[in-house]
Amino acid sequence: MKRREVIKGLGLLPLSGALMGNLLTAEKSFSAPKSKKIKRDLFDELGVTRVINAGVTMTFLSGSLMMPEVMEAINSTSHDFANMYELQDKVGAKMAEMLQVEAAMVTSGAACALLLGTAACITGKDAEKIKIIPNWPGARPEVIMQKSHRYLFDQAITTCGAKIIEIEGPDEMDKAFNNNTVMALFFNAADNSSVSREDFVALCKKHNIPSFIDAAADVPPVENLFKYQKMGFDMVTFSGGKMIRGPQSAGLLFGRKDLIEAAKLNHSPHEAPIGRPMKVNKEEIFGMYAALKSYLERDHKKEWNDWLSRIERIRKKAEQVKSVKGETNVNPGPANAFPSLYLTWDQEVVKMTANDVQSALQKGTPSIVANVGNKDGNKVLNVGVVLLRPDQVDVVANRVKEILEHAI
Amino acid sequence: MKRRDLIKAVSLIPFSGGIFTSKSSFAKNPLPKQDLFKELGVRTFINARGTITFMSGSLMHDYVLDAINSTSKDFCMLEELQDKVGEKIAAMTHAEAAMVTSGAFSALSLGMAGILTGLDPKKAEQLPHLSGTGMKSEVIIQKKHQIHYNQALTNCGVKLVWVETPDDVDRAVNENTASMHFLGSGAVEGTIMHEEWLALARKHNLPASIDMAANVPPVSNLWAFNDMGFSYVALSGGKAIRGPQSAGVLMGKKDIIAAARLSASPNAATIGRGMKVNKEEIIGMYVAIDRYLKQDHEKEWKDWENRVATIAKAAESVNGVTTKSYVPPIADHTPTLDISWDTDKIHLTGTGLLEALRNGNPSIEAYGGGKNSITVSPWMMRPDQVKIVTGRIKEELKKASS
Repeated sequence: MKRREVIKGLGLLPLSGALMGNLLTAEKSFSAPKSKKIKRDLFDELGVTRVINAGVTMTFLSGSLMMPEVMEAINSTSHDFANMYELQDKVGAKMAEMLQVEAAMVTSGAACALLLGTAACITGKDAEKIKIIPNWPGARPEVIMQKSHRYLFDQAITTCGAKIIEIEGPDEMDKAFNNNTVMALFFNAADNSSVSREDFVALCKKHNIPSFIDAAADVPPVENLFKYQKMGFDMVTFSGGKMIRGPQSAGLLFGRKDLIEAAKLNHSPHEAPIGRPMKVNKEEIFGMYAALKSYLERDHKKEWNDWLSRIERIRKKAEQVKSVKGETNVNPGPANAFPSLYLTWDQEVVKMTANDVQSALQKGTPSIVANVGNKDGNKVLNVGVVLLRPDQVDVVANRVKEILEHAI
Repeated sequence: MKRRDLIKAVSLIPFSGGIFTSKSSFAKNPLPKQDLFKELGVRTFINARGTITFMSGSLMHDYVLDAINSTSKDFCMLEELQDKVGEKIAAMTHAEAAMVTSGAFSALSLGMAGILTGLDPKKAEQLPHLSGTGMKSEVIIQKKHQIHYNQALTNCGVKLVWVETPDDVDRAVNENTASMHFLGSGAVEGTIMHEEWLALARKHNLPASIDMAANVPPVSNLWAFNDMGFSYVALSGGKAIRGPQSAGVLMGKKDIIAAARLSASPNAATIGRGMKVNKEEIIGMYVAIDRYLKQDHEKEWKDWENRVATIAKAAESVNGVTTKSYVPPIADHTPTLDISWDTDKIHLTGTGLLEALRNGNPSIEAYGGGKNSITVSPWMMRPDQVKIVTGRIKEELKKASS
């Protein structure tokens, strides 16, 4: 509120002497915001396009937007020094308590967690081995994975110098364990599995080898943050910069205490282990803690209903265009398990494909990133709502309508 | 708060003193103030030691925080952001190209990866396993340049080949040699210096890299090594420049930086995927360098010297204390103070004094801590903390005086 406005407002009221006195002191308290320097628009300065994210939490699209609690944590902890070992230990202890698990730590994302977890299984607390990673003189350490679970992110394992052994089915897995085996990795969001989570854990226990599950993008539901450690996995990772809305360059690694301690030895601030370049700073560690706390305390049902009403809002607007039909699509997960809006139309009427609309949204102003989904073998426009700021819901609705209308 | 609401509020309250002096009633949606250090039981301290990673590096300048806050409400494409921030940083540092990394160690690894893979994403997927890939596998480096941080290179799968003389270099070069690496803080007498190292690299047609993580100030080092012609330069962002602690810069030749980016996030199948920097850190790093270049370095230096003088004077006022101020030549190149004392007069060890400072209130971290001395670097103190440190050192020395 500007000072001018206050004075104007007060002009409507009878003025007493006391009030005049107060008004003078009031000038002081209003002068602060006035003296604030003009906001620097760094996107403009750099010529970087702001993007409205009507998709999911993609890394290349800067992940997600940090919660106000996270920003508060970053700002409020930025003016003091702290010991990073102590910070990681104490934040880890609190998070472990919150996650009902032995130990936890903040990493610079889920890929970092995969690497640190693998390193931990290879080195334990052995300083010599920590130094040698990833250049093993003899046989390479082995990590067991299901063939159908191989993915881009498993380079985090080979980056430690380990080799991935592909298996199919429990029998093959059972036989794959040998003296070089250090870990087994389960990719939670894989399309199909030849070994169930339960069998996977059981086989690892039988051979006394740690099991690791990568659940990077697999909240909501919030219950997943507890599910896998209860199932018996020794280590679990979640991304911090997706739906938990912590810093994008942060993630969670939690599980067995001895393994988390070994993972820390392979990480910054230790001088030169394999994880040294995967730095998280003090503010990110606090930010990740604040994000997790806020996520666990959030009213998830309310949040879900809010998403549904956003979908309704956009659907109604889009359906004003002839032949356009919308329906709520709930991604079954485990990754990105939340609702979005599927839009279809008669391409005889609206002469555009889903890809055309997607491209027009992205090229327009403001730039909007949506996805193209697949429904019964047909391409549909998939409009995400979970990463929209409240003020962006109508912007997206109007742009979608405008583009579709234009193509009639 | 809208004007309408204010009027409503005002009309409900009898006019007495107070309503306008209360700033908080006008504050816009304040979040509950939290003290996370307290909540977690984490000790904060005054940093009288310097920019040390395990001590959380340095404190970000307010303009870096402003940048983080103001860019946190919008999405953007990270590749576009790296492109554009990279261009700006390159222009400021006389480099052909630049990128923001998650620290200097990350910059060293990514630059090395870039040299090994070139622009071939298939090769990036094969790192760090070089054998049978056609990628080169050896890096030449001077014996005196041996530090832990060279592991940033071996993490890419290369082997370090140690040399001492130019002749050693000539003999070491072979068909597997990928590059020649130089440690900025290792440029001391009796070693091959920057220019000669670069001449040798040119002679053998090899790229040359330099690790200069903590070698700013002087500010001119931001461009000196690019001017000299190093192929890539690794710089820490969270030290003197006071950007985010988890950020750094890789700068140098265009083709190498482009290749390095293949191995960095947001690309997925890479050795650098775990070395994430987020949007806010990338922009924060840009703003930090921009402001660092514009700041009055002479004034800052004078201020550090004054701090050293203030602390020295107070310490020396205690009988038996002597001080020596100096500037470390390369890394952590800032005014520094050694405080030592006659243990016959002051019954205290250096370690004892460090402990007393650490356990005092507020906690203070200094270093050194020999039999009868400690070392203080005052450049990472907030202005209001100089007096506290000065007082505490004097107090402890006096207390132990006979």
